[in-house]
Amino acid sequence: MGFFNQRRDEDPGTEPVNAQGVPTAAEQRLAEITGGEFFTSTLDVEEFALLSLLGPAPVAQVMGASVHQVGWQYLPPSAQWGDEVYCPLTAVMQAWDDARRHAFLRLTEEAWTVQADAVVGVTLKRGEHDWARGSVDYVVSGTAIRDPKLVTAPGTPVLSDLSVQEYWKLACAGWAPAGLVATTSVFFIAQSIGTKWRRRASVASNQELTEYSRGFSEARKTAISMLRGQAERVGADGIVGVEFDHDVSRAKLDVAKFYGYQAGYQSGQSGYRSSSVSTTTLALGGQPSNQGRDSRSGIVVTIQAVGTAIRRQQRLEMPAPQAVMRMGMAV
Amino acid sequence: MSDPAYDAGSLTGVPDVARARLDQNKEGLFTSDLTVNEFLLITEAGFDPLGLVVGSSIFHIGLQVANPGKNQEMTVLSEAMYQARDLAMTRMEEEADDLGADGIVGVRLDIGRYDWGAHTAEFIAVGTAVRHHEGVLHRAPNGRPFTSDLSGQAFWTLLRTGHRPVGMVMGNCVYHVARRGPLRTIGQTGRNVELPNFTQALYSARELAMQRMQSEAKALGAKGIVGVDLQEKSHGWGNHTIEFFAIGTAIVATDTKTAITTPTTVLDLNDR
Repeated sequence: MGFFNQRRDEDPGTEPVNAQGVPTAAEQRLAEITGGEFFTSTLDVEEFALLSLLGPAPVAQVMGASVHQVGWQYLPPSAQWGDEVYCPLTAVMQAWDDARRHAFLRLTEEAWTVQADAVVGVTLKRGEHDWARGSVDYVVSGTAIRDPKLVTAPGTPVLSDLSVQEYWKLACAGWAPAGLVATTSVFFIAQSIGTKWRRRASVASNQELTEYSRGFSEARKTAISMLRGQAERVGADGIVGVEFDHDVSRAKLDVAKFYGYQAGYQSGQSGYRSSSVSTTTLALGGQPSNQGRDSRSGIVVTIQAVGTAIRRQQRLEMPAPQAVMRMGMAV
Repeated sequence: MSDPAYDAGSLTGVPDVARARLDQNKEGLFTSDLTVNEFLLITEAGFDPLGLVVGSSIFHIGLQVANPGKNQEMTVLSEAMYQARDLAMTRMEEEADDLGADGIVGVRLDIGRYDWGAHTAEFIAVGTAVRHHEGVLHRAPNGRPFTSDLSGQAFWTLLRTGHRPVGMVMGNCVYHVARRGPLRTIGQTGRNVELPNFTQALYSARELAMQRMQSEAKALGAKGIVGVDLQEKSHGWGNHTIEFFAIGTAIVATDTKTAITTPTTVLDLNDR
């Protein structure tokens, strides 16, 4: 690949970036803010008002982005025998992880430029762009704030997807955010050939699709255990507000052979994502069986989980709850 | 980016029908799109609604051909999208100025497209003009009525924190994302790699939009910006051309130092 590597420095970009990939424009924008005379924020007015009570002033709106290409993905050699398959698609998971890690790193870098202690209201946007097929992308943005009470290692602002209201409530109850945890787990599930034909014969009866049930729960479990690992690494006591998001698509993957390359990761025309799968399709075993065992048809389950890891700190004075009845209409 | 000149008292962009409507409002009848709660809170904050104000501009967006292999800003398109929005906002401000308003709350900025005009778009700004009861001037330092996309509730809360809106600030950037060259694509086939040119295109375009919004706020002498909304849209320019648009409300500190009371936790007796 040496020949191609030589050409890689031909960058079509016009805007200069620094070593972490943060554009110079961002550094300039943030440098204007660092003085403390001026701020920008994505906070709504209620959050802004509450933040002034907490003490820290809003500092700046910060952002990070990364687009990542998914490498070749094969099924393990054991998949060629026509048995049930559920395996993690490690190359795809790796791509999601890398994209997210880069985006978080740049967000943290921007937040550190303005000497923030924390970033609240971080939103993760997973993008789909026609111009980057077969790739995954993340854009994360939030508001960097200063909170003198928050204990952080220098250079590492604490990220969280909490609103200021939630941040405040947690602070009152004696909790502080420890970091944003996010994982992606991608699993491939295929029925065995025998099951597929048995299901076709008994399509009129109600039955559990056990391999799919197992595959889905496996994917979810993987996502959760990775979340837990991340939370432990930041020294958290718990995770709040975890949101799961899942996406199911049909795919045909090649089985890895010991004697060299077959074709790469493919799922029809549309690259990595494709249309959702109906329950009838699942019951019938995905697409019609393929003749050779070089590839397997099945479904790809992508589970995205995001939450905020929190840890105990000193409890603040919290007044007893007061009963109210709203006079306005319920929304 | 150009800033259309604004003369106090000018009604250049306002049609005759609108002038008649504004005259009705001046006689004492107010119109508004406020909800009951918003109306009560705005009144409580010391303001009277004067009338709905509208600004509109139908704009022909020019053409610009991008170099397929280059990440670049499409300056012609960026300027068109900015100027059109600015014209709509200025016309709305002129209507508010004619009513003798201090400012406009609840501004919505929309883009409409019609079958009858390719490459044209209507930019519409709608809001409710308000004036302070006791004649305390709340205009922006440049003499324009303030604009804000805050709801009545948010407006009330903001005043209670000792701040007031001075104007909506915006920045945009239409950006062309380069295609990957064939050699590059082959070189990256099958590998798990970051695609730096795509990353950079997305990132830089957003940063440019945010930076422009920030300089507008600075020019207004604002202390900060709240409620920034960052949108990403492709207005029919094909896959590779995207507009990033950032809009928020710039605020300044007022003399009144009324901090909000510490919130109490409440137990809601309603079912929902």
